Amino acid sequence: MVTAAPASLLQPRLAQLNADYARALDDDRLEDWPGFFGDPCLYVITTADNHRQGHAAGVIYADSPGMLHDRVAALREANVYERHTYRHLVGLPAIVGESDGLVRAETPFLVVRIMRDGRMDLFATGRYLDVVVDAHGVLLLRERRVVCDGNRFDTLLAIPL
Amino acid sequence: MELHWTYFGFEDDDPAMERRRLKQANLVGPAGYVSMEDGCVGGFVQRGAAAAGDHVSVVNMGGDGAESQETRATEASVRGFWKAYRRYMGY
Repeated sequence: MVTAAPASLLQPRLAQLNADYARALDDDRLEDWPGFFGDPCLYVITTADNHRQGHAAGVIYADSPGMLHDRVAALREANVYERHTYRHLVGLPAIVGESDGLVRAETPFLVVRIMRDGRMDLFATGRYLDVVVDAHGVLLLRERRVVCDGNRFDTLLAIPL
Repeated sequence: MELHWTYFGFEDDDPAMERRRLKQANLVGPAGYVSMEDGCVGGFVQRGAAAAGDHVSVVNMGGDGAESQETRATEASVRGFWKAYRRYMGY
């Protein structure tokens, strides 16, 4: 279970990880995105409904660093989609568990999507359900389940959340 | 319009098969490697059509045959499928 001392040390580091993660995506540095994950890793975008019911499938499902790199390569070179950016607002991480060197954290987020013509939409809100590992002083995501509050996604979910 | 995606597996799928199915789901949906550009084009058409609500437009793409084409931009396989379907179903 959670012990007070490590949690108090970890929380600012988790917050920093999330801040760096969000900036990389929002600043269109997609190539940096896989670097926030460890190896092995799991990255899934799903809905709260599917998560609650234990459905494993995701809107995006990547279970290796290679799949994260593929996703970025596809967005840069293969996929056709309208230009857009995100603005992530990421809340404070709550440490919900710690065992065997792995930390479980839950962090709320809100993402506004800005289309190329300047239109802004409240695109997604939800929680990051993370398993984080301290790899020689660097926090890496072993798992990030992006559990979105809404039941539906707008047509375009290109950039990772 | 809303699309509801349901992915099926089998109870006797082994973990490797289950993993393959989960990975395959990356092809479809709002973040789908295949369907992302369909959504994009649909968006263009929807916005374009909104400005011409009293007009009609049809792109035939070669008429109603189902012969092989030089290019992959062809409806031949889909037409062929439905022609066969109608024949088998006796329509």
